[in-house]
Amino acid sequence: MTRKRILIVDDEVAVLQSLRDLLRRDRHRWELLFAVGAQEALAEMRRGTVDVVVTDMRMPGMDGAELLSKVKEDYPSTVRLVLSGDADRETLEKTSSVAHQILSKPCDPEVLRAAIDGA
Amino acid sequence: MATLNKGARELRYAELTRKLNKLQIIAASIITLLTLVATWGRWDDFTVIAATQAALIPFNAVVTMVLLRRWGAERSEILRAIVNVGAAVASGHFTGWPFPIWLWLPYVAVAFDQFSPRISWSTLFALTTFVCAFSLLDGMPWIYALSFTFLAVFFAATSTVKLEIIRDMVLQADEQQERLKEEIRMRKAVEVELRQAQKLEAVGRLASGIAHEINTPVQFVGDSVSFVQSGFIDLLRLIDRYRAVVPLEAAAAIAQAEAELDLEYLRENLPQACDRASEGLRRIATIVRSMKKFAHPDQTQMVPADLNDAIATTLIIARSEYKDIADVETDLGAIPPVMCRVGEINQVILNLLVNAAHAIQDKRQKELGKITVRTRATENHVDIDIQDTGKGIPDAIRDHIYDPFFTTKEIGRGTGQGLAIAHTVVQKHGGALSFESKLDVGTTFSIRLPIAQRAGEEAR
Repeated sequence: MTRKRILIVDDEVAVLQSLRDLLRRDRHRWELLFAVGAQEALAEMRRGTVDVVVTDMRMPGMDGAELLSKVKEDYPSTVRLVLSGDADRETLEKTSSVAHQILSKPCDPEVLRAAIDGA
Repeated sequence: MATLNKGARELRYAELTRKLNKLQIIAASIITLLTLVATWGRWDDFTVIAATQAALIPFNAVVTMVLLRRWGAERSEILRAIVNVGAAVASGHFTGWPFPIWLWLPYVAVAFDQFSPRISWSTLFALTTFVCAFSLLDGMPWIYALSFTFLAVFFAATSTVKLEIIRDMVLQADEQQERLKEEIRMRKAVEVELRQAQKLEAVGRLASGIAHEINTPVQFVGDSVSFVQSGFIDLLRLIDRYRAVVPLEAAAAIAQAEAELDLEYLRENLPQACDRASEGLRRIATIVRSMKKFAHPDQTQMVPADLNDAIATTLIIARSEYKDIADVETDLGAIPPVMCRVGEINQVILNLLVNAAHAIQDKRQKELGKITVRTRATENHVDIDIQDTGKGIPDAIRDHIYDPFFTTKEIGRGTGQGLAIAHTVVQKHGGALSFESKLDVGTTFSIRLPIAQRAGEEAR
């Protein structure tokens, strides 16, 4: 069985590291990739197929919505999730057309797992 | 400033009254002088006139100094007119009606009616009839009586109309002043409201920014705590597996090392510490979420909102205001979503909660007070009651509590805007804010909001 490839994008390294630790339990079924910022994420995606992208919204340079719309265009089969600290109406409006699901920070680990599993 | 104006007005009034009295005394003196001149040479008549006028001077002085104050203007002026006209008629009768005597008729008509036109008309009528009848009986020509009666009536009528004009002008000025006051009051209210809205918007933006900033570390701290917890459990499992396979001679040394580390304690308490940390993070997240929900920036449209949820949010925000002062009990009934700008309603609830806490604090009792928040739905309305066991609102200030800038709190504790804003916000939602209060027992504020808004009221 091939492992699902999950790409997690955030401008905050601590968030990435702690998610890596948290999701380590699932290492036998998921292959976790991490990118600091949208540019790095796109570079990572060019290197190989990614099944699920989980991205923050507010990031310097390219924000989450822009990243996801690019992903939607270039890799339409990739599932797109948002994990954002300000999941308010504005974010919803910006991302509802490009994201499959929006999770708000702080997010319960089980909820995050379920969202990735369901992808 | 208002009292100063009133004082100045009274001074001016006294000054004008003195001027009027002086004018009347001068006019009366001139009439007397003319009468004396007319009887010059007829010394019997001259003496009668002089004696009558001499007797009238102390009488008029008494009326002005004593009776005016004791009886009031109307009665003393009537008496003065009757006595003076009577004296004039008597002296006229005994001196063959010298011409200037007739001047008393228009004199009385002008001087007399300054206070009450209605009384002056009937009295003037009686006096004029009396003078005319007496002079005609004495055989004086009727043209004199007719001419001076006409003059008297004309003067009286003119002054009456002028008085009416002045009254109308005064009334108009009063009305204008009232309108102006109302305008100022409204502008003040609008200003307060605007300032409040700006403040709320600024707080909202700040809260939303802070929320984002806090949520990110909360995310990774939470994830790390979860990881530590699950990692620790994994390690314990590993230890158990080691124990099962460890040779007997090593077991004693390991048991000793474990005892030194108090492994059992760690096994029991480390997961609990992680749970505690997670619980703390959940609470931080709740507060941050409430902060964001509370402020609701940019909401200009009314949308359906769960007011029970709004109350729960506001109670979290206001906790530091009441937690050392009162226990809060909620009795939140099943209520439908209400059309409102929930950020503003939150503000109203917050203001009322803070007031409730202050009212209890002002009672200076040792034990905690109680604040009860209740919601109920009727057919068309939702009622929110906020009840405290505070010191109550004194009767004397009940009419002022919604006035902008009215406050009983010391500087720094209140600006007198809380209830004014609450009142305006509730009114703008087509609702009503009311209260019941009993001294030293407590106060209940009730917010009544319509569930649906009438068309056209949703937009500000």
